[in-house]
Amino acid sequence: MDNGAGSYRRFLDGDDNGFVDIIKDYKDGLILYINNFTENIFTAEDLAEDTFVKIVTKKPRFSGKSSFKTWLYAIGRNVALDYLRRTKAKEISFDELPEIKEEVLSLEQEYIKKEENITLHHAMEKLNPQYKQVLWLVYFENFSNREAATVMKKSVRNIETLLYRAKQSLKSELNKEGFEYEKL
Amino acid sequence: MKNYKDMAEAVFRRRDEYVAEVRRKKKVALNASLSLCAVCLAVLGAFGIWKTGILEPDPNVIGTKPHSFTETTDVTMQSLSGNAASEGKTTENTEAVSGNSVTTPEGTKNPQASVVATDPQEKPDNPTVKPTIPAIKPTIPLLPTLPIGPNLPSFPSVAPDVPPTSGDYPKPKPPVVLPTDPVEPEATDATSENEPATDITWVPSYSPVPTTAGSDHAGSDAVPDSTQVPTENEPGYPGRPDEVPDLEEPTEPTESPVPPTEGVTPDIPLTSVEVNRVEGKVLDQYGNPVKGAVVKVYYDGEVDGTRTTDSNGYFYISKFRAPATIKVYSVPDGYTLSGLSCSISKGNSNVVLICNKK
Repeated sequence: MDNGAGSYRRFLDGDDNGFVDIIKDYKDGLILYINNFTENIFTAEDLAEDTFVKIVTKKPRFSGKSSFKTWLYAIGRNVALDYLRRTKAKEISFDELPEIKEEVLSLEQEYIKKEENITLHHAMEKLNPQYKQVLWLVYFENFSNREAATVMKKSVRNIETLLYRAKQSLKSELNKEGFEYEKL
Repeated sequence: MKNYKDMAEAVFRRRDEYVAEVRRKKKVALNASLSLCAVCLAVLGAFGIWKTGILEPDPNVIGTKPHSFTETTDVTMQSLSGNAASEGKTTENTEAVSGNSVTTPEGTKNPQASVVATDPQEKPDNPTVKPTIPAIKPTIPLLPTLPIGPNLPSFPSVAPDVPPTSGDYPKPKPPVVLPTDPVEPEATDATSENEPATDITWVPSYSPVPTTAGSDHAGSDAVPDSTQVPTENEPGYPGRPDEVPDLEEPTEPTESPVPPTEGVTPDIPLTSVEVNRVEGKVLDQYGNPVKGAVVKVYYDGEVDGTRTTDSNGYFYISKFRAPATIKVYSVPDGYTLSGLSCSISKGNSNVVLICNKK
């Protein structure tokens, strides 16, 4: 049983600590996932917070057809897309770039742990957003192709194709930097 | 970057703000809806009041005057028409308004009553008259054809005004009766004693009634006051000698003064208008009546009347021109004509004609 689903059930029953557990378990992963859309970790953090606020206030029904994490990331994706639809152009000042880098690195070290995966995550920054999303969901969040398809609202076949192309693109990027990743 | 605790606090704080905002919006919406409902109720109430007309002026309070006025005007018109027609159907209201002719409950005219009624304060006896009294004032100017109304109290002064009143009463009957004009000039003289006696026309109206006439002849002395002849104006007046004195005033005083007493007596002779009339018997030489004899009256050589004798030999012929000659025109079998004739002048004649029996 997904712990997220249990925590959410406790929250719906009136225990706010259940939602604190959800935030504790899924905050970093959601921020990094949304960062694939925004390409700004602070914006991604705000959007992740907006995603939690939306769940807390609206209290949407979780049917259990998918994992809680898939359901949560799907909500985060919608929030990110709404944000992107509102802002359109991404304006990132050059002054913020160093700070953003540091924040991303700290979050990566805290969330990804493995050095190889961190190098891999750095290489993903240059890929197409959809490649980054599918690679993140599959290789860093360990989603199956079906779950990734649910979150990205695509068919499983499209996810498989997208994942193949994302791997080829990431492999070429790693080769440029002198890395060879066995799993790709 | 925030840790999960900070993010959780931020999430719950924003949730609380959101809930507070929702409550505030609900409260505002509730207040707005309540105020809107109040406004709607007020509008509906005002519309209802406007539709039901509760706030309109009460016609019972304000509208009484004009209403009564219209009624009185109607009444006056009725009374006027009633005077013109003199049907005696006028109501008590009309009494107060008209003043000229007032009908008592018995249906007879009472001029005094009318005079009293014109003064609203004097006689409040009749409660029904009271409400109409105040309405009379505005109606009075509407009665230009009633010259007598205000002048009634001073009866003698009215006399000069009477001539117009005679015009007011165009009733044909009084003048029609005039045929009795040839009647005794004495009567006219007698009337002239009391007053100039402008018109005696009304007098004849009484004369045709045999009873009244007789009473007048007999009791003319007993009814000296009746000379004023009040009832003349109304053709339907039954002729009450007792009430005559009261009735005189409302009508023309000029007429009333004398004509009644003096004028009535000459009228009575009307019944004795000259009529050539002859009656008699046809007898034989023995004095026995002859039945079936034809008697004719001749005027200027023309037959002007014929009659056959009855079993008693009696005959009766009238309405022939005089002087005339009467004779037996034919006789039954067994008799022979005598050939004699008899001349008849004016007046009644009683003749006996003789024929010979074979």
